[in-house]
Amino acid sequence: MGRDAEAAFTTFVRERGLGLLRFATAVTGDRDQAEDVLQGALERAYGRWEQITERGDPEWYVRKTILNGVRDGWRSRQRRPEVLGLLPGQGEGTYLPFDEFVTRDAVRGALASLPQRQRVVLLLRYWEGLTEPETAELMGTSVGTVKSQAHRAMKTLRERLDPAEDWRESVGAEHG
Amino acid sequence: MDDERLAALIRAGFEAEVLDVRLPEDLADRVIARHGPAEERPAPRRGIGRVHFFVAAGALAATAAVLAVPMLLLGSAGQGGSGPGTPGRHVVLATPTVQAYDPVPQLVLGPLPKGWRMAPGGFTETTTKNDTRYHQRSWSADFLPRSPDRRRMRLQVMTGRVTLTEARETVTGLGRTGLSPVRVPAGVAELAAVAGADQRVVVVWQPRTGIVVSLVSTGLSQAKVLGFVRGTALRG
Repeated sequence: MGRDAEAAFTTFVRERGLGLLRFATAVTGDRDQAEDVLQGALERAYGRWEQITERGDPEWYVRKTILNGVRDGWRSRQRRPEVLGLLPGQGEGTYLPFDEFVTRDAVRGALASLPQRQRVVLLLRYWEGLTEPETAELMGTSVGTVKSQAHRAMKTLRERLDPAEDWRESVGAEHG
Repeated sequence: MDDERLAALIRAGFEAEVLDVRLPEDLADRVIARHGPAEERPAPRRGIGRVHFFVAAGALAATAAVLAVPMLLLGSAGQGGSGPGTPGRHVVLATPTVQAYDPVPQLVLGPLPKGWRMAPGGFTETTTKNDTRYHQRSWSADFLPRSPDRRRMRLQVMTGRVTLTEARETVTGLGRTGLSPVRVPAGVAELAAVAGADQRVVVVWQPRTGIVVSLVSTGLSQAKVLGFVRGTALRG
């Protein structure tokens, strides 16, 4: 790796790193894991930096690597608490009051409850604004799968959020 | 709820997720400095600083007698000082080679609460495929009263390329913010007491480089848990 390439890589991280970290955070739903995943993806990109930049868009490559890394269970943080037996039972029987449920945290909770693949489809389609073919390409899957995953995810979210939304509207009507 | 409203909520949900995300200033430096032959490259780790001196005692294991200074970055003032045309100078003195080993024979356990014992089976290796991939091995053991009730304690010991950061991650389910430093005879440790009916206490402890201990207990006082941890030692 030459000094020019190293400098170009450093510039890339400085300019695009925050966007990539936000992306990784949105994908994983976990800031610590996101940083690990991004660092891993950047290490991979750095090793092939000259080829990647010659071929085109390094940011696309890093995003794809992030998705692959998460898909392959890159350092799943769920594992340790399971080993220690911390999670089972924890939080069971607790629920948020409706007024909190309608906040963005509730939506975050609903998003977090989705299977990883469905969450990523929503992320790419609605947050990143990618088209279905672009989403499929980045995820390494078919357009049909993107459509079906998006459909399922939206259905699940609706089921979870509709009661809260109805409640919010009814409260709005009472106080309106 | 119509599609537009749901899409707006989704966007807002993701935005809330990434609110205040900050890029570590030294990320590029970290990547460049850590880059090496794939088989030598350590697993990505948040919080691995610029200068870490890993001194592993020769007695740790026959193959773990390593004096490793993983990365020493010289002359770089962080990302801000390594822009185009003025790349930071990175001198990699060595790569971390702390190896995973079986620590159980070296473990001397501290005093258990009166009437407690180790669960049948003792220490069990719980190393997973993922651990192996990241050059780690782990063991765990349960402790409980002779007349079992809801109280219990689980000790997990990990060796290899492990850090206190990693140990903290073992207690993610409890919220890491509750961890506070506690005094231990060797190394560094942090403790969290979690409010709740089960009186949960968590300790993460790095007695020395290459080994971390996580302990989770229910129904025991902080003092008893700390007494156990402070009495636990590694031979050699």
